[in-house]
Amino acid sequence: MITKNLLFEIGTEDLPPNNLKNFSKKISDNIELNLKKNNVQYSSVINFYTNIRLTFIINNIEEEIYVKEKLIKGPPISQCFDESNNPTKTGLGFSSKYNVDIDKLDKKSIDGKDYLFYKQPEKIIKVSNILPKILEKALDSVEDQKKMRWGDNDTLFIRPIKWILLIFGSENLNCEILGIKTCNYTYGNKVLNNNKIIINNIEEYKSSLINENIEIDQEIRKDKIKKDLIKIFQKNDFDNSIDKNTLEEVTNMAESPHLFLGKFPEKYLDLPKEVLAYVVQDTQKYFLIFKKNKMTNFFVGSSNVKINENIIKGNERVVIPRLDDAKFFIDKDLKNDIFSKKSMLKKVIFHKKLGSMFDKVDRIIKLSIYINSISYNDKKLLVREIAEICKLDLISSMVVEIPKLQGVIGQHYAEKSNKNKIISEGIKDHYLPKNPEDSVPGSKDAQLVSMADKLDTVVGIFLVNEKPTGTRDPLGIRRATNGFLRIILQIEYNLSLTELIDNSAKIIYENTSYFNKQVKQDGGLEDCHQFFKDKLILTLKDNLGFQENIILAVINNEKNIIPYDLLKKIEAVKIIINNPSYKDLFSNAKRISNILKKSDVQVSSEINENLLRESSEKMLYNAINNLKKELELSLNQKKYEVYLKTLNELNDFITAFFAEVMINAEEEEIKLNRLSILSTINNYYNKVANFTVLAF
Amino acid sequence: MTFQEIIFKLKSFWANQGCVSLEPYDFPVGAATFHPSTFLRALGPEPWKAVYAQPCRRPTDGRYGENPNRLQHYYQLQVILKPSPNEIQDLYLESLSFLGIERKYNDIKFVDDNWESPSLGAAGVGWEVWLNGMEISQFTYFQQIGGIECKPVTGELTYGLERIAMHLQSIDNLYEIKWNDEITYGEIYLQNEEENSKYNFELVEPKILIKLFNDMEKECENLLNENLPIPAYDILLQNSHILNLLDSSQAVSSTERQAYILRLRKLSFLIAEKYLEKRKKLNFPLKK
Repeated sequence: MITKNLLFEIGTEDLPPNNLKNFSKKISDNIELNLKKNNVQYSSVINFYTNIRLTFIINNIEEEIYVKEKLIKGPPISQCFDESNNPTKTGLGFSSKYNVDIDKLDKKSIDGKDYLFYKQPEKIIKVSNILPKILEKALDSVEDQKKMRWGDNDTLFIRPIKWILLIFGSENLNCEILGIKTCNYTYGNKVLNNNKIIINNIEEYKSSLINENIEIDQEIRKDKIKKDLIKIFQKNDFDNSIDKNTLEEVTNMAESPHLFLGKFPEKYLDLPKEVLAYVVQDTQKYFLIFKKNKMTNFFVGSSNVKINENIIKGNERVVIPRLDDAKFFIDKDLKNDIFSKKSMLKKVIFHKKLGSMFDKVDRIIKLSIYINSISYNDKKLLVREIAEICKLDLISSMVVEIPKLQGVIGQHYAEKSNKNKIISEGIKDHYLPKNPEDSVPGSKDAQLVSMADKLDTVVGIFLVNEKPTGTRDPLGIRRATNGFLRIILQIEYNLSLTELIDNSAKIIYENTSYFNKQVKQDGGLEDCHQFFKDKLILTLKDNLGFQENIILAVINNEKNIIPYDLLKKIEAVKIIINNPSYKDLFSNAKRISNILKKSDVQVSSEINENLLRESSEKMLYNAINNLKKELELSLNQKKYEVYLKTLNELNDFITAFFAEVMINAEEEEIKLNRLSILSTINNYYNKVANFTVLAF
Repeated sequence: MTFQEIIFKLKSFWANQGCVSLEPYDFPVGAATFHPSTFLRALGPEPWKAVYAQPCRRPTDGRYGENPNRLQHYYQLQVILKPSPNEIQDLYLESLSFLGIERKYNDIKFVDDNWESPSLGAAGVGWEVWLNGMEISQFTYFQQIGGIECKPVTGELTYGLERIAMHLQSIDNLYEIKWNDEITYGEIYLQNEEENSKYNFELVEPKILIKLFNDMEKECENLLNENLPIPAYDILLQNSHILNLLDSSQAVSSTERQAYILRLRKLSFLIAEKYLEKRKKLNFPLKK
């Protein structure tokens, strides 16, 4: 069959660069979805985009769809005609759907019941007739698309549409999409000529764009920017470092990007580097330049037209007042001495029920000192000192102006007022880790404050029953929980998550005025425990890569959740689970557990030596006794792999025991004593995991 | 090109496009959008095209005359096109070339920047326009004003006049802008910046302003009860400026500020609703 290619270009006003890649891909996916739904045969859909074009090319569309003759089942005859054999609403509904007379419909019996049938004749659908609807639907049904309106029409799209070019083969389809008439022309480079260009086919489209200096293919455009950057790097001996987000943005904001090297006065390098990055990279969308890993006063910008001296000068001129402004704020804040104004935090709200930042800081102090006392227990740590001032930069005019600089600015001000290095770094570090790629705070001091801050946020939100739902998580509860768990798993202390949550709740109850009046809602606390447990399982699984069945076998075996201890146990189980020499440990654990479950009597784990009868029984008992010390020692030292290895040495004795001994002895005393032996062993297993669920 | 010539030229360019040439509003505003010719005229079905220059006050942006690029009192040139025409972006670019800013030799970017005014209950989709990296205009399609969906949609073009003058006169310090051939921007406004920065940051008396805010709010409600949305709107403008002053004096916390904004928004919703009702009673006279 003859196939044709389709060219579909939507010319718009400038598209938002942030999500452009996804947006274009989603439309492309939608096109494929709708082509398939309509049985249109094609080979591929390709998507291109620039800042003002969304282009899709569908290759090798078969012009016609052949639809075979088809029998369509209708309602039962009994419902289609009344007693006097006149057609009912149901009957007429079915016939009118296919636009035929009801008397012309077939009748057929299925399982003894008669139904109306419509025999749809074979037909041929011209694809060109259904393409407009397919494309319109693809545009319209992109999820999470923030649509807008413009002018005096009802069209909704992400940005105003200026033209829609639609060519099928070489035919101008001349139809309507989203209320806009399609055409057979495109526009050239907006900044150069902006002239109308008639397009007859895809080849013409491609060559016209090349003539206009437009690179429609985003990947080629991106590569070109990269190459140009590297050229600049090599020429000037700069480090080869390219910020991915900036690259994406620059690619998406241009049709034909030209790069230039600019600079700002060196004196601004004194500003905190995050402030420089904010101004130069985030705001102005320039590439930052590094030399030997140090930020320089150079930047690379991009232009949509050929570079001239004025463009470079203009861009350089913009950076200075912005940096000056940052300096203005910083100087003002330093004069203000924010660290002497703790009561100002009363004006900064944390949460309407959980109080101000002042209240939160008070809780962070209490909680971090508590965590220190049960972990490092080192009075020399500057926990209180960091906690007291870690939120104070929130009142600084620099952070009020640019909130994302919180922490960084506090650190900078603390350094300027000659605070201890641990304290000033702690201000920034107590926010860590924010993202999976961040490391945990460097100092023990900051780790404790970070844990307290995050725990207080999460527990607090659960106590006021505002746990995150779906995508709604305004206070970043999930992120705070993940950060908290990362630290607790890393600091190698056996902190009980259960106790930490309960203590944090206690501090919140006792120190938050909301709870003086309010009845405590302990349901929230229960949910909080479960939430942390679920997140811990996820962290162990997704971040640390453990198998879920091992994690569950360990974690579900514990009432008191101690993340670091769980981690050590999971690591040990992971090592032995695929080791054949441990096979019997798993099967014995299962067998013993089953027997104990069935026995249905209270079994003490006290074994009475005098009631031991058989030799294998005595040998097992002696073996347990001989290994006891060793087992306890490795358990106390959390050397779970050693512990399991020791436990594994009981296997032969257990096998012999089962071979020789009848558990259900006639004398009740003896039976119970034998169960006690098994119970003792079972307890040893359970110290690490519920092995029965892992047995082969 | 002098500062005043830029205003003349832009006004004549847009007057030639059919815009009504208006004068600035006589109450303090934080942006030209607050001029009733924008806020009120964007409501309802009546078409509207206007151009005017508007001095704006943003107390927190004051820098005691020390920053070469920041002012607490500055000028915007506002163009309102309702409904927004299809070729609005091209018209804007033409107006720049009318000023001698050619798109072939300058990098002009439309940078995604949606607009929202919480106190006006207003929101729009749009861009900052960058000229060689410098923001010189704001370009917005109003989607909602005073809580009411805009239909048809108004297109708003706001030129930052000082920035454009700095580009055209190739200078780094806005105080050196030539207002005409004789006198500079600084000679007219430097003392104003120094004195008002001192007032905004150091001498605002919150108690007086808070009382004023409360009194004016009552006045506004009375006027709305009398079905007089236009004077009620004037009162809203004054309260909006009072809030900006409270902001610059750092007298209100972020939550208090939010509470004030909500009070303003409540009034702006009522004003928009009343204004639209009254125009409807008049059968939308500009809808010819």
